[in-house]
Amino acid sequence: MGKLIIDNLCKHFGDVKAVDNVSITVEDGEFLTLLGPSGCGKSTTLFAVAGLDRPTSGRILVDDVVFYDGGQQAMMPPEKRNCGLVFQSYALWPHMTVRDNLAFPLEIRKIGKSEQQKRITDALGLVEMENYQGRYPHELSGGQQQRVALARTLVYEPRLMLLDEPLSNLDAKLRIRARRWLKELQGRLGLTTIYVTHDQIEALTLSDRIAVMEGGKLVQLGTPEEIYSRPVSPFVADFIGASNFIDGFAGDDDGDTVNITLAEDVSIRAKARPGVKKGEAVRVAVRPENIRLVNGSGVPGGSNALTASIRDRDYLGARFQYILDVCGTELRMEAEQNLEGSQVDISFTPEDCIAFPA
Amino acid sequence: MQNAAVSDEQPFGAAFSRARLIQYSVAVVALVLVAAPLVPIMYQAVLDKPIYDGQAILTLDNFSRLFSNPKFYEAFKNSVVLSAVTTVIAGIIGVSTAVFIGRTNIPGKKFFGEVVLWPMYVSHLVLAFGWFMMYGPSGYVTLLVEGWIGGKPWDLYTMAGMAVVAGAAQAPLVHLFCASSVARADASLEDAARTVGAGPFTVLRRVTVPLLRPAITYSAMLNFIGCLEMLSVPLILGTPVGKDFFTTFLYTQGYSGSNPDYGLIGAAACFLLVMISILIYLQTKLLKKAGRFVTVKGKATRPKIFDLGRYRWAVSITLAIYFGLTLFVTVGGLGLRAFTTFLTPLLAPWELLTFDNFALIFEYDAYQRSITNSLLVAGIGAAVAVAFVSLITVIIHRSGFRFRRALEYVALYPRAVPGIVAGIGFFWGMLLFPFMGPLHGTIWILILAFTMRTIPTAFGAISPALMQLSQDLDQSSRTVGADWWTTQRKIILPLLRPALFGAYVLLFLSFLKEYASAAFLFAPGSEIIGTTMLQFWVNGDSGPVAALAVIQIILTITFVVFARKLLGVKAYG
Repeated sequence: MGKLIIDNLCKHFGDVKAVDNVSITVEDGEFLTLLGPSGCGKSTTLFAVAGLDRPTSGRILVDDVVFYDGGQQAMMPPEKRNCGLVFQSYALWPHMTVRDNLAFPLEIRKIGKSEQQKRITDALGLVEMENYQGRYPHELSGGQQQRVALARTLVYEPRLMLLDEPLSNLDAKLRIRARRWLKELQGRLGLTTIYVTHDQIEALTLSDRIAVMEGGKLVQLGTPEEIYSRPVSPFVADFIGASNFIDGFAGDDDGDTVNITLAEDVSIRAKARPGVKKGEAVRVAVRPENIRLVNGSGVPGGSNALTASIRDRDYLGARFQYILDVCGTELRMEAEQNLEGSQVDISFTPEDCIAFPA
Repeated sequence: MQNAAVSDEQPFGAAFSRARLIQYSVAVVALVLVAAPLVPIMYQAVLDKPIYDGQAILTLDNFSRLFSNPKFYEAFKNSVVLSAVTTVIAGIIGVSTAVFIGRTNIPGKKFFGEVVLWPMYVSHLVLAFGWFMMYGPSGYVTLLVEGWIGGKPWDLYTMAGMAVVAGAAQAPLVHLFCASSVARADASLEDAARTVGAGPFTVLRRVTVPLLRPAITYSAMLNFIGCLEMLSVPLILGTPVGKDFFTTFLYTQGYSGSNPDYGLIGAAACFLLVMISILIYLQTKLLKKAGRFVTVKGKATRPKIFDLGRYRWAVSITLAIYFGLTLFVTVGGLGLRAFTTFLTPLLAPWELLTFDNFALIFEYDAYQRSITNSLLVAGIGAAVAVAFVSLITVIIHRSGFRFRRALEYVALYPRAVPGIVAGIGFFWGMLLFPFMGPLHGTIWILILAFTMRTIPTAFGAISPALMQLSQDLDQSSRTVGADWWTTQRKIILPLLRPALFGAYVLLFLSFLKEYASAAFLFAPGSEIIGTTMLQFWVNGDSGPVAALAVIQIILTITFVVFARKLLGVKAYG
């Protein structure tokens, strides 16, 4: 139970394509994250799955049950879909206690009183909130409200769990705890889950697969490792891990890496993405965390080596962040040392450099 | 801008969901209710014979007769002049009270702040009677002053006199709009004026009051329209000297003899409707532009209180005299008149004390019934109206109903329908539509007419509260499995309870006050306080009029106190 197929989904607001031909298949029990900046269409996609937003065209199916079919103009109303949606605002009903909030979906499903109480206690137990049944939402902290909201969707055993930036209203420490706990819970229950966020760390730590969206389009779908190490475009490389970009021209290809000329007498080797052609302009992405200082033992064999001037430095506590200048391009790098002087030698491996056609 | 609400369409086969059934039913009832008085009026306006006459044929003759009727032009001119002067007077009084009570350190401002709104609770008919009995040509105060100075001190039966009465009655509306604007004004704008050397009065005159411009314009439009459709003051103070106004023209034509001129009344009512519709349209445009005048920042700053120095007592005494003369003397006079056989400066009132006026009312079934009917109409009618309008409001703001924009227009249109026009329209509706016939002579026709008139008021009271509820609350209910109707019933309407209660109080009071639309609709058995007062007044019995006015005021006070107590215990998370 719980295989979701999103097929050529479109949602247009006039001329604006909020969701543009998105197709994703989410396997039973999978944790899929829709990741992207605000306005990329990730929430619209989620709300279309929940039935709260009517798409323009396409199809949505769960285990062969048609949620939406643009061709037949068939639209199942949200209340018939049996999805559990956790809102960014939690949307707990303020006039009901925690128990009543959880009982409401069970009453609609005509479940007997004693069974209701058992399920409510179980669901609150899962989120460690069983002692708060009589409280009203405004008597709970943000983290507690978030857990009650989750319990409210778990209590009626939905076939899909949909989460719309559920951690964004929590403070940083609580967010890390909630993240771990959410992942553990999802793994234990095995619910097919779609998680919407703009936070790359949440996406990387929680997901089985990540769908990166930009401007209504699905730009890359893959495991966190794939997305991180093999981004398909500068946008993905920048959105996941905030890459540095250096412009240059492609040279010879040795079958594994390609030579990139950054300036006269300055060149590096990089992994080329499809579309990079010899003699044409390219954009090379290098992550700050992959840039190393060259120390006494010299440059590791095969690595790129450059000399950069230091433009600026920020003290971050445990480390320093350096803003470097390489051939007129700005590069960010982190290091533990407080470097003297205005010049520094750096290196990074060709495997950590990805060249995109500019 | 609101997000498009969750659609409530039914999937796969089922032709009609519960949600759609409710939405269409409410919309159709709303449309019928608003159209019920309008259709007969427009129809009658183009018929050559009374609406019930099967032989009638279509004609435009009524309009040509209306426009060639000199009395109509006289009424038109009088109405416009009276409305304009009234609007100015109400504006001056309302702005002054709002600024002095809201922003200066005059003594007794808390008391004045309460008193200034009292006229809003009382029917204009009662206020007009109060003025008539105290300041009319043979009024108590008039005769008293005449005795001192030996000549007629003033004449209330003039345009100026009527404008003062109507202005005093309408001033609280201006006060209400300006007071909220004054309270939220950005204090730094005034501080800046002080630092460049302006004294407190100069700041009030040059900065504070000009910043009220949107509030003043908007309330002035409301008052102008309100005065055009006002029946009480023109009827009580204008008709005795033969002055005709729009509303009294309709009223006297409708009641003139055994053979009212249906066609002429229809055409005149139609004309008034069109005119007020245009004004309402202009007012809506004006309100849209008002956003450009916004002086209020998101943050609430506590407005500064101006120190008026030694003038504070002068202002305070002026206000005391104003409220004393316009409110305490008139209402007190009604009270005095209710308990005396006769009211004259020549004899001390305690020599004339009597309970006869009240005895008369409680002796006769018809008079007594008008009180119980008023309470029934207000108590039950307001509840029915609030329930109905709350459905209209959730459909307009929280549904995917296809015609919800159109429904909003329908719901707001009754603002353009004067009470007397609604009364005539519903009356003719009972003649024209067989299904309305059985309502004749029952209080239900009154409840229908009053409900129709107050849909915009109730909508205005409920919808801001509804718009503040996050859409997430409905949407989460829908995703956990509740359909549209369950969501409204279990989540949205319970959360709206404070607003619904507020709307009920508002509607109860306006149902209790309403008389104009009832004037044509009541029949033996369905009298209300307002219509019985009018009957006594026509017969010249001012004693029972005063007694009924006192009863209406007591009922109002009781209800307001009761409502405040209830609001006090309102426990809400």
